[in-house]
Amino acid sequence: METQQQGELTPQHSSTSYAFQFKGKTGEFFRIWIVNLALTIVTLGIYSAWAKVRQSQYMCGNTFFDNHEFQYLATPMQILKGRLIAFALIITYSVLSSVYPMAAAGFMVALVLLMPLLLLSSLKFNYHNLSYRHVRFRFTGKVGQAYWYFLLLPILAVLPFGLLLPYAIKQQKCFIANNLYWGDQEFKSEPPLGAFYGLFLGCIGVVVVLSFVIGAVFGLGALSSESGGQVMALMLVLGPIIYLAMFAIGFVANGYILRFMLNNAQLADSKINTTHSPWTYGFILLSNTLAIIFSLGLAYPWAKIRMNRYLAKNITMSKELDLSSVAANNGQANSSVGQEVADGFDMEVGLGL
Amino acid sequence: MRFNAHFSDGSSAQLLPVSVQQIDQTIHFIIADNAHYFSLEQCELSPRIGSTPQYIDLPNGARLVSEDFDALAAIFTKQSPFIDKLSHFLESKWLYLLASLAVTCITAWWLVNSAIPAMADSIAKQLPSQILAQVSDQSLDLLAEHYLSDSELSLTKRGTIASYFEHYISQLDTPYDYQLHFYKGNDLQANAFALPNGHIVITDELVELLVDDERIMSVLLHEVGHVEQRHGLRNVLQQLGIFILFGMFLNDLGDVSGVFSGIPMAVLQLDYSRQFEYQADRFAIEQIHQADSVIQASSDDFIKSFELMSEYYQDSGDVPEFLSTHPLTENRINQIELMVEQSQAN
Repeated sequence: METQQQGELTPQHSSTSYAFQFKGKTGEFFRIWIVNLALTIVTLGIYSAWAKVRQSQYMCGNTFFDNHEFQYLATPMQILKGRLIAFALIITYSVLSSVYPMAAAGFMVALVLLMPLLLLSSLKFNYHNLSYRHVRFRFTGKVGQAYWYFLLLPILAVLPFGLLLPYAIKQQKCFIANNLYWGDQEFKSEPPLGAFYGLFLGCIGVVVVLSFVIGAVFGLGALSSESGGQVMALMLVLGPIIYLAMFAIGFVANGYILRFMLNNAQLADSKINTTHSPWTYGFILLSNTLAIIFSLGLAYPWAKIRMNRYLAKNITMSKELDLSSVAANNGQANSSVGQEVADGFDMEVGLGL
Repeated sequence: MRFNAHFSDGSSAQLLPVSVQQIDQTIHFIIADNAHYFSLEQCELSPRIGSTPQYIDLPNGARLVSEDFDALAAIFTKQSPFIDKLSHFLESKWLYLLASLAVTCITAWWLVNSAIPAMADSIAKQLPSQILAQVSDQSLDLLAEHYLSDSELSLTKRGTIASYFEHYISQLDTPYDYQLHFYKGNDLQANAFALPNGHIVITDELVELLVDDERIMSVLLHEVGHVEQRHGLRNVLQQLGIFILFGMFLNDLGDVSGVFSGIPMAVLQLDYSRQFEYQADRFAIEQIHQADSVIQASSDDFIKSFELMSEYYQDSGDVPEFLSTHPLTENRINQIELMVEQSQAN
């Protein structure tokens, strides 16, 4: 964990770089969240669209960059429309899968084929509705690219023993980063491929070592006791630990990927830099997850604020670009259907920006 | 009334500090020696969300940003929509917050315990019998193809059980077309299960384990209970209900939802499953009490069946009850004994 307690609420003043500052407060966000939950439940889910907007705006409006805040622009009605469609699809799927399993399989295939389109429209919607200094962000990826990066490339990458997986992940992340604009200014990120392969090997190494340890423990357990009961008990204890360890590895790996992407990213001529530690990042994610589970969800606002603070404290951008000179480029809007359907089926993409 | 704001014209990221003044139903401010006037009706104020800045959208795509909440509230008296006003009002007091928390918990409890089961029940009643038959046939075909094989029991044994069963069914007032199937269970071992249209399967292994026809009948009555009370369908629908409920609330949990929402969801779904088992047990006991002239079975036969099956599966209580589809044998026997005591007391 970080030992140095920097004043979390004061920006890091620097003459050479712009800094982030996250001003959200746990207590305040908790109030908003719990009221949202209550209203959502008494309106049988309808209010969740308003809830989503209020929470997103709370997060964006408290994220300051060079002393100006971000803004979330989507309206509840847009979100509601998307949610209703996602809801209808989920119901259709669930009913089909319990009554006609074959039809449900066909439905799933159709959904997989549609997924790149949904993810693309989700990215467009989310960035179009994010603004800073009254200038919107914009995602310009094309349909063909979406099918390549989100469907074909991942399939091809898994085929030769997953050897191309790190390449595919890098390409996917770069697709997102390199099609992103703020006003008329372009984001770019080209992290070295070697970093992704290094991370991949590291993860495999950890998994192999873990498997040996687990295998050894089970082997000894089975040898030392005749009854199946003790092995069963051991499994009950070890099972959750293994489960958690797998997630922990994924969380830390995400921390590394975020670092590769950000440290090689720039907006126009301004270089983005992050000092976050992938291990601290993974630790925060894991402890957040555990806190949320053991508090039956009540720790969610705290966890969310904690992560945002940590990232805001660590990410900066050099000052080559004069922020006030950036011109707006108001592209066309996009529907929220893709975003909500993608969310509904637990698909997630993003750069963490 | 005055407030400080940043002005942006919408064409670039340039933000200019301005001092805005309200005069009657207008606001005005000066930028580079040019005075700007807008009537309040032309301006749209964004809702108050925590202590995040508020925005005033001006008619020509320009915008003012301000954190002077008191002044904004005083000037834009008619503006913010009802929903946002309500949310902000509730968020502002700890008392309302506690009330919100209570409402959330009570409603969630009510949905899980009453609303979802009631809705599942009424939908299950309305589902046409053709669909029921189709689903059941599909499931049985699937099981017969992958797990079950032809029964190796003697024809006399099968005949005895079947005639008991038919005799019992003939006295039952039921819309279902009951059929008893004998199969060798193989990997499914000693087992009996009911399909929604009234087809009941019992495996050779179970018949051999229970031996006595009375015990076998008690188990079959339990399965009839599942059919009569439409448990299969209600179970599917209730699980769907839980799935939707979780989807609704965990949608905004983002990173965490996919990872762990599955566990509490499964715990609730298993709880439903165990409730159905208890209900089927109760049904079986009631039938045993009512129809004792037809079936010679007693509640002791039923209890003995549980004990035999528990022994057979070496159910040593290692898996906690809240993680299993069926209640612990001990608890099921307790329920039966309680029912027997009550019926004797009457």
